[in-house]
Amino acid sequence: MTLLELDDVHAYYGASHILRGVSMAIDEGEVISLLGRNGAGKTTTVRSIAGTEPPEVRSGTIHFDGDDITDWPTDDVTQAGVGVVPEGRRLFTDLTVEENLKMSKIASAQWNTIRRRATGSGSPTMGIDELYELFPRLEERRSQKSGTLSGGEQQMLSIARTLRLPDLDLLLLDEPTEGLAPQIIQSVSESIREISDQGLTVLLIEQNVREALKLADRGYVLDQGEMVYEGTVEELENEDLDEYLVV
Amino acid sequence: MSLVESSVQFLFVALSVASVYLLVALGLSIVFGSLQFVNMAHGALYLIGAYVGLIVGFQVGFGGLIDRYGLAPLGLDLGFLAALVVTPIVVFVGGIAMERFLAKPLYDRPLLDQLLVTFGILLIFQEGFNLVFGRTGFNYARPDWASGPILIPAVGSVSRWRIYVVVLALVFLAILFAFYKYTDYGLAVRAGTEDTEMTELLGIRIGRPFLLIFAIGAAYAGLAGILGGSLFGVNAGMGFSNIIPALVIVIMGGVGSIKGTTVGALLAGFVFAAVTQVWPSMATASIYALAIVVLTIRPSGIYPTGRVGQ
Repeated sequence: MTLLELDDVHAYYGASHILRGVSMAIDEGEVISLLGRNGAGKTTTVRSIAGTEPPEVRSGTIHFDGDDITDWPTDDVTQAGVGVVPEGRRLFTDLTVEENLKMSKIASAQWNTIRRRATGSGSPTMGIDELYELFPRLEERRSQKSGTLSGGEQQMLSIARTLRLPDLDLLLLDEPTEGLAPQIIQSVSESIREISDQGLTVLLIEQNVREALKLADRGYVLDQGEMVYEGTVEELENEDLDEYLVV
Repeated sequence: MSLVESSVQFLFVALSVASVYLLVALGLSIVFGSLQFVNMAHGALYLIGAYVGLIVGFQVGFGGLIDRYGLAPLGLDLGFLAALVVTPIVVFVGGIAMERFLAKPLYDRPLLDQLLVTFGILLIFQEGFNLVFGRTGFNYARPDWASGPILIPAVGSVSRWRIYVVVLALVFLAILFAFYKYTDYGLAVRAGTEDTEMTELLGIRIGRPFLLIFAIGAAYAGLAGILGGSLFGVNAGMGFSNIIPALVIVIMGGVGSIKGTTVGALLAGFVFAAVTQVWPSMATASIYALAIVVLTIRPSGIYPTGRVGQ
């Protein structure tokens, strides 16, 4: 069953036309890689799905689990089951590790006009113990301010925070290995594999093609705001896509 | 009068001045820090608090339009304690209205636009109050439990009301701190101060916690209106003459920092009280001089939060 579907999405930053008719579909349980160079429109795609502004989606539709979420505000998209681990981690650096994790739990019906509850068809919500099992380093540093963590630990916390969202059905990871040392990249990748093995649907945005293809079932390649290639991992590996990618 | 007695008296004069500044500056600081909104109309809330307190607690022979239409003396005459309880609630509601109708449309505008519009609103309130209530000043008639001296053994007499003002400010500071530290709303506000969009990516409609903290800041300013009005007298210019030092305190302490605002208010209170003793006409100006010194040493404030102006 299709969980997320983008159909001919055009998105703009002010007058700049960034996404020029992007279409893609993700089935439940899949791990999809969205590849492309810097400035290809990967982050703009994530932001368009999440409803964060800018960019402004001026035409095309985004459907999630059967609902047209194109114009939904960000908090409603999240409540419906879309979790974003944004580029640059975006931790609350003045808050402790524990407080960062608590932030995913405090949205409630009193604050939000929830259009619909997520169906919960993805993986069940992760408890704090499971998360600490996945990222043991975070438990050691639970009462430390998140701004004092190392780059790798910050990335783990950013992922853990989004995994703590209730009713998460789709995880969007925007360049989770960016700026990390090679051994840390390994450990973050392994965590992502464990997460996807539990049945969560994942959209992984990467410049690092080798890491991305190790984890993914299928991949899309974005260049200058247009989808230039789509295929299974085997097909992507055999295709000569160097002109669109940093290999 | 012994040296100890005059020192302790000075201490409580300084602390009570600092308390009034603090209660006004807290709301200004939080809203500036979390919503990136500089709200000079916050001074109007202080002004409104002072007049609401008078009307709730007493019957006052106002001038202006009220006198002309034969409504004076006006007031519910419920007493001073009732004024202390009811006024913050009334101004809390006023704060909600101000956030929805004044602040919200201005959130995405540049600081200068916010400054000009909200300053204009403050002036409109000031002149409106002059028109409605008359240009004369008014005083709080404090009951016995809130006036006169307290005799402290080995020290001497200290103004009872100034002690209460300081205690009230401490209690409300503690309440705000606990709200920030231990409630979900407080957590959301702290997180939202750092990264609003990220809170939305975690499913939180951050406008609600921000509205609540705005209204709490308003209630504090309303309470300060009564405390300040009872110490320094009530007139329509009091909002104006309080909000500028409050803004200076916020900037001096570090925008959005409760700790910084508290330290800034204490510094301002002591400098103000000290200069009042030796050169009263320069008392207000001394706060700006203090700010120049502090900001020369620490350009981003005493506890920099490092987000405003980026």
